[in-house]
Amino acid sequence: MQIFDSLDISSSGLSAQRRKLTAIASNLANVDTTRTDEGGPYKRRRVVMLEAPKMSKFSTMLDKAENRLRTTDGKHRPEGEPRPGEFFVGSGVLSQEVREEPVKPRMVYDPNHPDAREDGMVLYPDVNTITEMVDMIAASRAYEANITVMNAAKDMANRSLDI
Amino acid sequence: MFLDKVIFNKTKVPVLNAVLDVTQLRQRVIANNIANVSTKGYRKQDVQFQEYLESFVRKPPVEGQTSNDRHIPIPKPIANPLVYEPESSLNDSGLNNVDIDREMADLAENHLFFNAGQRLIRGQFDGLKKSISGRVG
Repeated sequence: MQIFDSLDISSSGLSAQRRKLTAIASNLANVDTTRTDEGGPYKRRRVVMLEAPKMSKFSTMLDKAENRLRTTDGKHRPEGEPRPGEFFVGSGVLSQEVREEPVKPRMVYDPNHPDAREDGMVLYPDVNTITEMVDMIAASRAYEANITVMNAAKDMANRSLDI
Repeated sequence: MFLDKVIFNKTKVPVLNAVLDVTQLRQRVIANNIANVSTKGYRKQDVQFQEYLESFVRKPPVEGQTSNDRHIPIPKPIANPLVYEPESSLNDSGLNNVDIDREMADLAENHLFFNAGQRLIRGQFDGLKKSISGRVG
């Protein structure tokens, strides 16, 4: 429904940012993990954001045109046309998680470590605590911004019931 | 509709209706900009609402009358608000051109604008109710 579209958009933003925060928490918790199921040190988790498809995209327009309701009886009423402005408004954000291959794993000389290589070096994950902390602040601020938008949308919906 | 012609079109209801519609649309656009604040390569959008609303109150320079079926009427209000991507916005973060402070300010402004429209339209309906029932209160 039209009135809740704004809430849907904001909630897609909220879940994307929460996913990002979960990935950061996992990265920080595994900063010293040297052993994983797939072998080798822990691989950094990273969440990338994608813009959700707009209505104006060719594929969505085609889908809509194909699935239009037909009127087979004279008494049927035609399906309402979407308002033209809406074709160009996006529908929020999508997120996707990727595991990064370590570029430069942290190497520590510790021959007594059970996961040490033959030359005595231990490979630690390629997680930079400072980067993670900065990303965490950015993600939690973005989360708050989405909540503010949601509250505004809720208030507007409430007030329109008051007319 | 007949009722529209004799009652509602003589009040400010049509223009206030457009105010509420365009602020709802703008709310969605701003929500989308903020949801995409960390999307790489996203381009922000905005609604041309001022021009749209002005077209309701501005008097056209010439008023045409259609005396023949094949005449095309001079259009009065702009049919629909335009959603566009502003050209001149900086890409400071290297990620996208969404300026979060600007978006939050626009959101607050839009919210107040909606509230004003809602209060005015309620006033219009209250006035109509009073004139129908013929008493105050």
